[in-house]
Amino acid sequence: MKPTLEVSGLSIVRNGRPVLDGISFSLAEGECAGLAGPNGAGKSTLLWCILGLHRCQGRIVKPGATAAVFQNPEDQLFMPTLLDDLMLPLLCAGQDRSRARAAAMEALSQFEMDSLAQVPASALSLGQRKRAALALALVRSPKLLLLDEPTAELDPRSARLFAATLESSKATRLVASHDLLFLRRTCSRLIILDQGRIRADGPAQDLLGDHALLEGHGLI
Amino acid sequence: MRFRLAALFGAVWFAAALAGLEYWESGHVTWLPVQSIAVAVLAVLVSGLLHPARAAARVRPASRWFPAAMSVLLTSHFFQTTGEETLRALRAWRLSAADPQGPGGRIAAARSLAHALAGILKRSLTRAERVYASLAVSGIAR
Repeated sequence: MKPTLEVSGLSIVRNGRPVLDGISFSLAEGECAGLAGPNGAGKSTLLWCILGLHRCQGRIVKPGATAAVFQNPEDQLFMPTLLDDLMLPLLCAGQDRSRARAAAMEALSQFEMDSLAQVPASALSLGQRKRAALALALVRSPKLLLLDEPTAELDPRSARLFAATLESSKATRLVASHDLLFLRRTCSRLIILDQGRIRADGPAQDLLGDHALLEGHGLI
Repeated sequence: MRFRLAALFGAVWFAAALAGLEYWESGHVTWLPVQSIAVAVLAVLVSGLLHPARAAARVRPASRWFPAAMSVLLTSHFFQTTGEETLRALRAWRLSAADPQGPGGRIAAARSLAHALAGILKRSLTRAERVYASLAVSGIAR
């Protein structure tokens, strides 16, 4: 099966220091992989490179339909209402207003947020904003979904809700997070990144059970 | 209202910096800083009364007015962002320099205020970068 995402030999050097150093991996269709590592390991940089927002050396093959949820979702939602936020990418993709509205409402109801359709994102709680950002990412039915610290600052209940919503997606997912419980629940595969290099790549259950490995890379 | 006033504080800070630069460069200050404040006050009043962002959100992407509508929406978002960042910076500054004692303390408090205000610009730029990233990823920015 052809992989959805292929990354090979990805490197970035900043101020003479390698931020990413020869990163290579691929994700199969529908696969969900966790990306774990200590602060400054290069997780967010790797996601931004894959999205084409950072210049880097190496090769990235990804589908056109790629979406992302950033660590700070407030800047992904800037329209007067949540419904407008979700409709905008659909309208820009050429959908007519009534179809875009129906699709946006369907996405919001899937996330149990349809009652908040006319509310601006600034009036939502952080948990709601993160789920709204995920709804925004999924509304265009992406083939690849990248998430940067999706559970950061979420309480356990909001994190569970977010995980349940994420699990329902059929997109190939790459999730950068420090939240090992969340990664155990949502990802079948784990990639451990430290000092810009892949230190381990394998089944999440196996790697998350290796305490020496996790401790060695500042994850516990 | 408090939020809108906080956003205006950023405009006043910008005008003061502009006046300082003008005086440093030519020894006198033009009406430009006052005009900047007037435009900011007018923008606050008009946005409070007319809600231009709501009108702009109704503009179709195929319309020739779409770029202008996006400008209104993004300006409105940045106005909010500047307000948030200004409030956050001033709260943090007030906590750390609540009651400066003596001339040394007051100088340190004034210096820290200058740093806090300079930080607003940096954080606003970071947030602007995030907005652009979001637009690029959603296929809206070209």
